[in-house]
Amino acid sequence: MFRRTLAGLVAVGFLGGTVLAAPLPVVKAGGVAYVSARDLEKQAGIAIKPLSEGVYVACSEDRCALLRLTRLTGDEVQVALDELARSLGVEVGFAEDGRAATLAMKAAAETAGSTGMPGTLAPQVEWVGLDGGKVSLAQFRGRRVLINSWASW
Amino acid sequence: MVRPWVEKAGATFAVGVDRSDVLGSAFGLKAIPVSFLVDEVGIIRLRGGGPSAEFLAEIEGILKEPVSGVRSQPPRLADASPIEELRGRVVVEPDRGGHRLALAQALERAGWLEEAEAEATEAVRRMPNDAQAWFTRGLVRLRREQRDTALRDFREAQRRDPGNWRIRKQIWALENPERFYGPEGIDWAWQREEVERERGEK
Repeated sequence: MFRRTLAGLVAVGFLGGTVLAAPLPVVKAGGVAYVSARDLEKQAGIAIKPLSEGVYVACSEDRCALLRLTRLTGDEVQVALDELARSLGVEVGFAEDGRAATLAMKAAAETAGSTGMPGTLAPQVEWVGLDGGKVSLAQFRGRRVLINSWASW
Repeated sequence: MVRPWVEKAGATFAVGVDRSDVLGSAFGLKAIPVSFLVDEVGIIRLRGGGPSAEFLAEIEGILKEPVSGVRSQPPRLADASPIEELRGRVVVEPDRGGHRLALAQALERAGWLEEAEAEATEAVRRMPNDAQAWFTRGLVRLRREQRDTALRDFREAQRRDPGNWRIRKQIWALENPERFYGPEGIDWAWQREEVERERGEK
């Protein structure tokens, strides 16, 4: 639901959405509106990471989605807003001139938890350590972690 | 079982013992070893088998990326809820096998093995074709040192999920411990022979 203000900016009323940040600059190419991955991360708290050739994953605080409609301009990754909206559950409001967009996160659907596949969030997992204490993935939060599951057989 | 291997390797990283098969049941693992690389955001970026050159090269590529400031909240596994919450779900939906199984796994982790076995039995009764339910009860029974009944449960699990190497190897190690824990270490030739023998019997 959008309303236009007298100043020419779009004041957006999102139903149930949390506005993420100030408007992000939008670039249009081939009729598609893109925002930069850098802006998404710094201003909207959405990380964009490469998964495989031509496939990226976008993750916010509570969910991830795969993206295929991205483009590279030099070193910069740009993400198609339409796909981001559809895949990650984001509402997008464009400025009247179409050069900026405001994002709001829709409420997350009830998730079934992680599948363990690349491009999904690692779940909370914990085990008993060899010393009897607790070993959890949470204690490594913010770091890159390699988990190797093996057995004595 | 695990400590000698860790000490022999001189490992300095954290080692957890997954007695109740948390990763296996959460991620539907059919075989191990398996590795996951989780980045600083909390995203699973890689999933692979053993330490191949390709897998290591992918890891190195990710380690070279700039570090993101975004941090995601990890989703909770279905069976990671507090025991009382899981008990509550069983009260509300007593015939839902999945709730019984999640409670059994949580009870096993807490060390309440008698009750874990009871709940695992309820899970098996309600989901008789679910390999994980049988496997979980087998693991609980093994912890209770009920080797024979554990083995029967593992075989039932294997019948329902014959391609699951975790179940197969658990059976092998129980029935033939000398092939795994003898002074010569793991007898890989014997395992290959077993696979060939099974193929020949089909």
